[in-house]
Amino acid sequence: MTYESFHNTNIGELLSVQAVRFSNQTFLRLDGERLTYADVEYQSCALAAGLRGLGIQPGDRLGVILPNTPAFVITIFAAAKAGLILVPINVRRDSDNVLTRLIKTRPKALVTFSEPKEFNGTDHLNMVTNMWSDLPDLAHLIAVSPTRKSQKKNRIISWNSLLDDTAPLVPSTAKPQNPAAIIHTLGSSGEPRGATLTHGGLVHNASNIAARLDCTAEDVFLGAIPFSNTFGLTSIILTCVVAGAQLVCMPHYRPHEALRLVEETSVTILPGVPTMFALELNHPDFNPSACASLRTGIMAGAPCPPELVRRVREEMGCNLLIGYGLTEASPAVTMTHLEDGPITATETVGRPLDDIELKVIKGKSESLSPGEEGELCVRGYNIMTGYWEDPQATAQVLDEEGWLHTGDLAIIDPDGPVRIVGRKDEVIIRGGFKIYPGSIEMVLRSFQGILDAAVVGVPDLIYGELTCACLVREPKADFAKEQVLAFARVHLPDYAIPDRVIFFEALPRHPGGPVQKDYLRERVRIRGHAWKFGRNVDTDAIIPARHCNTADPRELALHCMEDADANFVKKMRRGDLIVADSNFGCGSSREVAPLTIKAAGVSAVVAKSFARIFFRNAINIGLPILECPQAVDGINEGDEVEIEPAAGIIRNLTTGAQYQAVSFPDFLRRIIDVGGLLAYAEERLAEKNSA
Amino acid sequence: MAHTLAEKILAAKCDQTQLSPGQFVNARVDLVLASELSGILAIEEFEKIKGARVFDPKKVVFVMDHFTPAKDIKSAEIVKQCREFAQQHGIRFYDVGRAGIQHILLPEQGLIAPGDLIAGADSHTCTHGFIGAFGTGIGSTDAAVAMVLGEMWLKVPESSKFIYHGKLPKWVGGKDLILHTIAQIGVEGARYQAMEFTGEVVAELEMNDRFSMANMAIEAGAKAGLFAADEKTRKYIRARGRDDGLYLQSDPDAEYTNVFEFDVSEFEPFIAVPFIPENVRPISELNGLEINQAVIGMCTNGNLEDLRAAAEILKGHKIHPRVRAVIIPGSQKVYLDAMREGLIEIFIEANCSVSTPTCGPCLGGHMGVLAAGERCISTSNRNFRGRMGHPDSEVYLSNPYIAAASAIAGEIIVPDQLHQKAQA
Repeated sequence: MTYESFHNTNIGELLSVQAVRFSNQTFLRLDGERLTYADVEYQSCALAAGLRGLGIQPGDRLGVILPNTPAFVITIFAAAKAGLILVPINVRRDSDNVLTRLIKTRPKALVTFSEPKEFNGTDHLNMVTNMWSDLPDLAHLIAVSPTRKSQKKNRIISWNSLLDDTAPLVPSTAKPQNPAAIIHTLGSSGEPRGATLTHGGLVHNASNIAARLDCTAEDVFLGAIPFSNTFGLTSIILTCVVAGAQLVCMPHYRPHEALRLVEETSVTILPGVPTMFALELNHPDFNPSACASLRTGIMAGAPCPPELVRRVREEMGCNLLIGYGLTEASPAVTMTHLEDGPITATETVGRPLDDIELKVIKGKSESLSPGEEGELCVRGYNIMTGYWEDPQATAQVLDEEGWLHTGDLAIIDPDGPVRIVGRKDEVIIRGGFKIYPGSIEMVLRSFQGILDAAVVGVPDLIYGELTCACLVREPKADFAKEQVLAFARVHLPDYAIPDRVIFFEALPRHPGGPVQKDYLRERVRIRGHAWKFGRNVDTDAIIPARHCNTADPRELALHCMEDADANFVKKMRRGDLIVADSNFGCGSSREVAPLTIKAAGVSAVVAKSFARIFFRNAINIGLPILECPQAVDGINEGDEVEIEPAAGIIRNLTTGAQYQAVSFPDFLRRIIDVGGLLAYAEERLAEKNSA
Repeated sequence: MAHTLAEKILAAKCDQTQLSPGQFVNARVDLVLASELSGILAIEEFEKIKGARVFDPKKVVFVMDHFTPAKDIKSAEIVKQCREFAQQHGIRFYDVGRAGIQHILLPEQGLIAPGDLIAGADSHTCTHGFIGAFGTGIGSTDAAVAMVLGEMWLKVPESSKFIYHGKLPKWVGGKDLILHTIAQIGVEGARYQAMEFTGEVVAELEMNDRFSMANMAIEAGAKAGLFAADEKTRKYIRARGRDDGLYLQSDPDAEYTNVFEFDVSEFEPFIAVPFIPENVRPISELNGLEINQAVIGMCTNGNLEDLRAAAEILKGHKIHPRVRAVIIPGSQKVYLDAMREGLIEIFIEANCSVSTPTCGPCLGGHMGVLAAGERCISTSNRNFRGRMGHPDSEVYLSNPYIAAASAIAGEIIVPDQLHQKAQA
């Protein structure tokens, strides 16, 4: 099926057409409640008429703060039919976040609910009532099942009472290119921006998703993803309607509940973010045979670990698809195909949906060839018209030719599939190596016992940035950071192995949104134990005895550090520091001694000076050095040392002394910044050639 | 502003008029040097650089000297790779039979002139300070990059001045001066500094003595060891086909981190005892210490004048029955000149082994490696534990007169005592 008939329609018409085709078929299910397509069509028309009756006009905004319930779905279609622009807000947002979004979009009416017992004590109706005075445009507050008392006291309109409206609805004439919804997404500094999405963009996108999933009216979707975001709105609700399928609503996501619903309601399509799948697979209630009804699913919304995708495919026995999208693109941009081979199906985000163009660029607009890494740009019917009343922010992401600059770094394989490698603005550049926190987080989350992971870059005087993995252990999980690092060493390239691992009770998150990385960064410091080496540890003094056995400098040097102390490398922990006098490691080992130390994971060297060959080579390969003679004298082996690299501060936590390192010369910083001397040489070569 | 010799050389290499210690510069190099030991690693790094070409094939030199003639298959293969790289890039390549120990060979071939900046992937590149060139040891990555860019980054070093007064006593030479100096300041005493050697004794010193001193500047942690080029230098390089170079001197009011003055008149020969070059004793304290081996030559004392010194002592003697002596001329030319002068005959008559030029035993590589419990007197520059072989062997560093006399006596001795000992 291509569902081409829905490529040019509005959301209200979509439901009207399907309500005729599938009138008595079940559309929405919640617990025992079932609503047919005809029911939903009828109720949404009634609600639309009721909203119009309140004086709300086409083009006005309608705020919605509801959990995943039939009322939410009905309100979405009602808004469309009345020509209102929907502003859905996640039920998990706190009052400040809600207020910001409402102030920006100025809705005429807002639909919410009140179930504090179910939502950790948060009474959403109360919350909005309390901020009403700050919202002069908000004329009507509508609540699903309000108490009589609140209705009376606060002029709250009952959502149900609006359904009683029998006034004839003058259907909206919204064109496909008219705005249907403003959905907020977070900008790079965490501020919300409202992506204005069109009817045509959303419905066309849903029909493309339905086609990729090969959906039919026989399918049953599990509605666990919040309907307030585009994943929920487009990929679940609208896709379901395009296919005439069923949607099982799930107001609160809990993994065991999801598993129960899959089995009891014979779900065939399971959309979710990677964490949901991981929680379900790892849940004690998980039973592969209870997932027998699953045909396919969509994993999207975050980087998808190939290992997890493979597990879902094997253990849930479903032909899971991976999707890539973003709010500004309604959201789906690429998806894998049901027929894809195992590598494309697990390691890529698939190929672009029909009628969507992709390109990968370097800088502002230079197009790259397949196989080259750059920023992914998307163009097509699905791209937002802009951020709501924010032309400046819009201009940052949407160029004159209609390309949406996603901020995601991607590679388009020569044969078509797309690989997302990370976020442009989250890239950590550590000693010249680009590190994508998402890809490390993905690997760390696949470690048994890790519930949540965030990787942040912390400023470092020498490396520019270091990586710090902030991890949340599953309850009762008992493992140390060494085990995580051992795991990382197997699954990550050496430069991407986290420099620091810190355990948290929970990661600070924007409600339902991304981790508050700025906050995490502030909490990260470099801390480790000192290893002290004096001048007598001169590898030249140790190596020659080995010359009798080999003339290969690489072999000689590889042994040199172990020779210095038989257990030297083994005893070192990632993040430890070397506190060295300057004669440390010169001679034939000069290349490999620093490399060996680096491989052992030392995060910094505190040295008396940038003096001899060892240090020169350490810089050349990007090993961090803080020059501070007083610290060398003031730190003993085994002392716990904390460094604030950007500030050049070295603290001996054992003695309480604090030292200030010599500021690192800009000249050397450039060598470090570009990734070491070889990369620097390439730059210098280019400079010289152009001169 | 007044400048030291080191600052003046570096300033000339980066077209600056003023350079201060601590400043970082990219300086043009006049020669990039590697042995097979460092060259093989440099080649690996070179090949990682996109678009790498040798900046000037005439200014890149590979000298096969550490494990040559190839001591085993591995060293043969390493040399082979270096040879192939050299052919491919047309760089200067010195192989067995045409070579010598790099620091002796390069000036001999007229490849170095006063005021040059030499980037050598060998820690004893500081040797070239003996003709007023700024030579400094670098790593193989640096060598690869210098081969491509024709420049190297470095921090302008501070300088310390070492002034030698008085008159050199008999049997005392440049080697003794540098051993005494290291003993005074320690192996860290000139850390990342340019050591500048001067004074009336230095003015009189022969080039081979200056060579030994500059060679061991690294043993005091120095970045370079420098002699201001003078008429002796001019004569030396002219004899090797060069008549160019920068004849620079420190300004009289230049600033030095430290100034050391020594009166050498009362010096006696010095010996560095295990296991660090700063462990220096006057020979009188070590008289009678038995040895098993003597090694004379190599880079520190491998010039013709050094061999003459050894031959002067060995002539007409046999070395002690318990002792092996290995003579290692610093280059093919030194070897040939020594042969023509009859020195080789003297050595062989004295039961010494004469080796083709190589660094071999100095770094425990081959051609005279020590067994456990053996003691060696050597004219080389390092005496760290295990340096010449077994970790339980010992190396004593001396000048060639002492090494030769000790080989004859079977124990550490000054040549004057040989006669007494023979009579006893």
